[in-house]
Amino acid sequence: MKQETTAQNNFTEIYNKHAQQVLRMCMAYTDNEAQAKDYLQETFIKVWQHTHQYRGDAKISTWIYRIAVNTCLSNIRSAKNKMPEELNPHFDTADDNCSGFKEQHITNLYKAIHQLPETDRLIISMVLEEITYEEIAATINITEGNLRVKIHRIKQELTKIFFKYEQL
Amino acid sequence: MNNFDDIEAIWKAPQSLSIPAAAAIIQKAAEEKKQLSRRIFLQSTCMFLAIAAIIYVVYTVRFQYLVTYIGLAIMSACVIVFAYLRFRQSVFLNRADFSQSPSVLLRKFEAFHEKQKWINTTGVAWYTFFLNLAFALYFYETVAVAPVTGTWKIVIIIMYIAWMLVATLWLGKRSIKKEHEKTKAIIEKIKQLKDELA
Repeated sequence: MKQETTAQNNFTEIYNKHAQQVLRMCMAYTDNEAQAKDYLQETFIKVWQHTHQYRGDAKISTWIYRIAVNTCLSNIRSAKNKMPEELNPHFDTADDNCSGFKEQHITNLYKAIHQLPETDRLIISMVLEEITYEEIAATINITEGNLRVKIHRIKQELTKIFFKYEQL
Repeated sequence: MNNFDDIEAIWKAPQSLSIPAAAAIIQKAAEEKKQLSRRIFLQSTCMFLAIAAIIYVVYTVRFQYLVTYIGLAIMSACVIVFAYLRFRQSVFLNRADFSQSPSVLLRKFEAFHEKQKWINTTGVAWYTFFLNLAFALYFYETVAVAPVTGTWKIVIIIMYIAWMLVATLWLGKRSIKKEHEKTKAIIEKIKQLKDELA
């Protein structure tokens, strides 16, 4: 019983620390907020169920991001081929005075991210979350050199798409 | 506003995302585990009931022909082997380690899919063959040479054939198709991921 409580406390600590980042990653991946929350739940259910498989040879965050990446990518979106839906802002902005202005930028940013290939969406969301290149490379299992090239290309692509939306 | 730094600034804008409580996740995980246990329990119960029914028949009815016993033994073997294979499949799907690299996950799913294909084609064909053989041997004594009228014999055989046709050609095919589509979709997705990461 005590062991279970300790496990629950450890999980809660890990969850509170990483859930926001994982949710933003999921929202960058899918254009549907409810689906993003489903992916978040699925990710952390796997974290809870497979804690014993974590061997400690990578950072716990890398292990969680990898589960999140595999969860997002292995989920078959039924609406994969439909046109991207009009995005609702994914979150409440803290500053009410300029919320409308900010929301528009954020909506455009998510729209732009959703135009990228699926793995690129996850990579760029990890870059934007300031996760180290070493950790991103470990998460998706590619070399750091290869990752740098990819990130350079994705940044250019995203900037181009985003400012096209901004000009509309 | 025209470079990536501006994008970073937008992303970093204060956000308050509502996330489910950790306790809710733990509860959902427990529910999933319960569901899986229930499914395994149900499958095991069905298997044991089938075996128990066969054992009951063997001990309560004194058959005269050896072929009847052989038929019942083959039936039991079919039930045990098929239940065991199904159990292994569900264990694989529930224990798949999603923290592995996508390429390792792909290899494991591909190997699983190959096994699944074998089970659902060759395996099911052998299963159907042996089950029908078992019933044919069983029916020799209980229907063919049993003191029942010709009409009843025909009714029993027609009912058996109808049930077999429904089970193999309709129910079985539908579930196999669904299973294959699911696994293939996962493999396609991981393949796509592998290509994108190449």
